[in-house]
Amino acid sequence: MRRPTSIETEILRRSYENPTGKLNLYELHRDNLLSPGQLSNACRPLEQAGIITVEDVSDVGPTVALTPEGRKWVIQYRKQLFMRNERPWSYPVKSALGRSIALNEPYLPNLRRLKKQFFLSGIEAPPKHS
Amino acid sequence: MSGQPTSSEVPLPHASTDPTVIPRSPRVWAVDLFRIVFDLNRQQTWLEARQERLIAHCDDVEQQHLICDLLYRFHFVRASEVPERMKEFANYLVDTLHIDPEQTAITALAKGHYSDSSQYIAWLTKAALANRPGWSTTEFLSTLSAAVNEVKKGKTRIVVVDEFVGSGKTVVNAVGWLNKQLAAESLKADIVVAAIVGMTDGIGKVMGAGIEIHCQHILKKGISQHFTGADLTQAISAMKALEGKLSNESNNRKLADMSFGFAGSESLYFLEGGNPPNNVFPIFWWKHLKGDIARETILERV
Repeated sequence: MRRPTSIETEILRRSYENPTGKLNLYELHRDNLLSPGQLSNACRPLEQAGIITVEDVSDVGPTVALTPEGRKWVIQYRKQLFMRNERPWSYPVKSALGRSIALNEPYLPNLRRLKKQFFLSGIEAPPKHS
Repeated sequence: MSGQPTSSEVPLPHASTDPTVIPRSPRVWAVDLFRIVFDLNRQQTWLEARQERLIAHCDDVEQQHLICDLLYRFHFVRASEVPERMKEFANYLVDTLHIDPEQTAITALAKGHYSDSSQYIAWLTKAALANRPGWSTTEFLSTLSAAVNEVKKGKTRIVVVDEFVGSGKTVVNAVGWLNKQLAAESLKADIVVAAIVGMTDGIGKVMGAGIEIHCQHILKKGISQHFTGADLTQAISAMKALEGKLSNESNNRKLADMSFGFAGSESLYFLEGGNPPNNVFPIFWWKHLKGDIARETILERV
């Protein structure tokens, strides 16, 4: 299965953390303001992969339950599922990067690409005499 | 502070433009409605992206339940299903109706200048018959007037194809027109109508006019052929109340002519990526509320 989305991960986390292995989807909706469409969309791939089952429990509503295989799968991949430490937003986009310099290679800025105004920016203008 | 933009000048980021932001429901849904809509989404996955439009104009639980019930029974044809369905449709024409390319021309029901879904079906039928021997591009026509010329050239059978038969009025008029054109030229041909989807009442009307018709999928009226007794009365009044919120006119059409779908067809059908028939309940596609207020619809119709 591909890497679960944030909503799918939340469904798995809350189902796993609950001692019954079940999750009332209405609670997830109420706590996170996720629409019924977002939740049904997130449940479908997990259900198709045999990780969860979804049933309409009377007096409760749509409820997710981890299957025994699903529970094993969550334990097996818990690091990838819940301990994500990547920070893709902290890296600059590739298009903004120039050629990378080699180890011990001095950094030589291309001064011709700088405007002359840059060198004058710290110099105060002489006082005007009236 | 001078030089600072006022609050109205500050451009606000739009949630949908940022893929990293998970959109949130603007409110907490009632438990019962959440349950019904969740179940509906599992049946009709195409509605998952249209959640807020589902019950946008419903005043009470009856109206919400009616909309959800109608959508639950909606015959939505996914674009990905079309090639397979067209294959079945074409196989039916050849194997059951025994049409052969020597004597038959397959024509769209269209007879005017404007593009029509029947031409799309005629084009798809051509692709679906590609592996059948004998069929060439000249057997597939885009207008009924072209069919008259084919009969002049010796074709004896005309298969008129269309996407959807709603009230049956369009089919009866079109076949009547074709017969008239052929009679004016002292020509004769066996005319058969074949559609992907048809309403029971519309099919009955076409058959009543003595026209042979075949539909791949037959639908009943969404309300009056589904509910009975008190449920029927309640559903009709709920739909009337919902239609009462729509503008009397939109896109040069009068709501009075489209109430419960054109000719009261009460259709629940849509081919993904197409233009929904006007036979569908207008609550699903009418673009304006009273006071000419634009609304987001579940289906987009020209």
